Amino acid sequence: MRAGASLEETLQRAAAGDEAAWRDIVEAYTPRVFGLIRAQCGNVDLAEEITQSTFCTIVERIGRYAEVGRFESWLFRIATNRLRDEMRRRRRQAIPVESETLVGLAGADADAEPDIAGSGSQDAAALSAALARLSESDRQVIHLRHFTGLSFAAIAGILGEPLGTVLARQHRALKKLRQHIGDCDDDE
Amino acid sequence: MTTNRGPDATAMNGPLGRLTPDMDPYPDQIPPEFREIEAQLASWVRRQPVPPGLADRVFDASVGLLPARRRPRSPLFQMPRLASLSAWRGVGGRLALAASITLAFVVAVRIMPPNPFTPNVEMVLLEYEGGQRGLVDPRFAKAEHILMIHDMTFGDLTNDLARVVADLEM
Repeated sequence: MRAGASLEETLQRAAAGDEAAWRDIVEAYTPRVFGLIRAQCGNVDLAEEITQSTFCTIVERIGRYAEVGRFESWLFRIATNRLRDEMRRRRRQAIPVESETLVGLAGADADAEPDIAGSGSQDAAALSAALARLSESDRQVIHLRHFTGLSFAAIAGILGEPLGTVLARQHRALKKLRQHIGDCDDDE
Repeated sequence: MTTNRGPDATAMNGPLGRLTPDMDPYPDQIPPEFREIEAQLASWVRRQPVPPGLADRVFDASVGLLPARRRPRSPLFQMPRLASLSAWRGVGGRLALAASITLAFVVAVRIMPPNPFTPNVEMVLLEYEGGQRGLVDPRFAKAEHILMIHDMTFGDLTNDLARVVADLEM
């Protein structure tokens, strides 16, 4: 964002066709959208594809959501829905494979992403492992909260769940994370 | 009120961009023992790598779709959209619309399969013409009296057809 320009002003300028403003928005939000999708699907290429597709959708209708709160919820909702649709599509087209193949693929993925398996600190590795042990719905709340920085109310809106449910999931997820990380520490 | 605000705002200014400044704090009932795990999560999020040049690629893919940059389509290839009423406002436009609807109706009637419970009068008439030439299908022998329709009124014909249908149903 340009110095002194609020997000709302930037959105309005982008809606009027200002390329520099649109670049500011892309630079500000691309890492967060990518991070969220990448954390949920574990696939860098798919995350990039969905990120691009999300911004292509956003730019066409940006004038309707040029308010900060609405824009962010809208952006992350589109990204989340797009990932969900893609995962459903892939599940429909999935061909059963041997479990050994899946293990091999998981290993290859970990090698390709040293942030999780290799160069990160042990704490980060323990946290990644603990996150992987959460249920999908609990993990999704954690991801949405930390990658998007949205309020719980906005997250509830994205997930189509009551606010109380989202808060309960967050609480349960944090508790389990603490417990899982504690288990890892005990093992060492 | 706790001061625990979830993801670390300063942390999010790293590779993952800016954080919305007015993000709500966690509700009071979230106990403070989660602060440590929250800090770890914020740190973990901060370390997630972003592919080099990703923002540039996203920008390049999307900038052409900015509202002011969208090029109007060439009038040569621009077809009026049905949903756009303005395209149908002129007299010629209305006539064209009426012709389109009529054509669609005729096509729909032609391609609709016949109702199996409706006697196919056209077929009977054809068979009648065939009968005049001695080409009646023996399967229609039982309904031979229907072939005399040239002496019948419309009421007679429908009564006879109704009888045939009743016989078939029995």
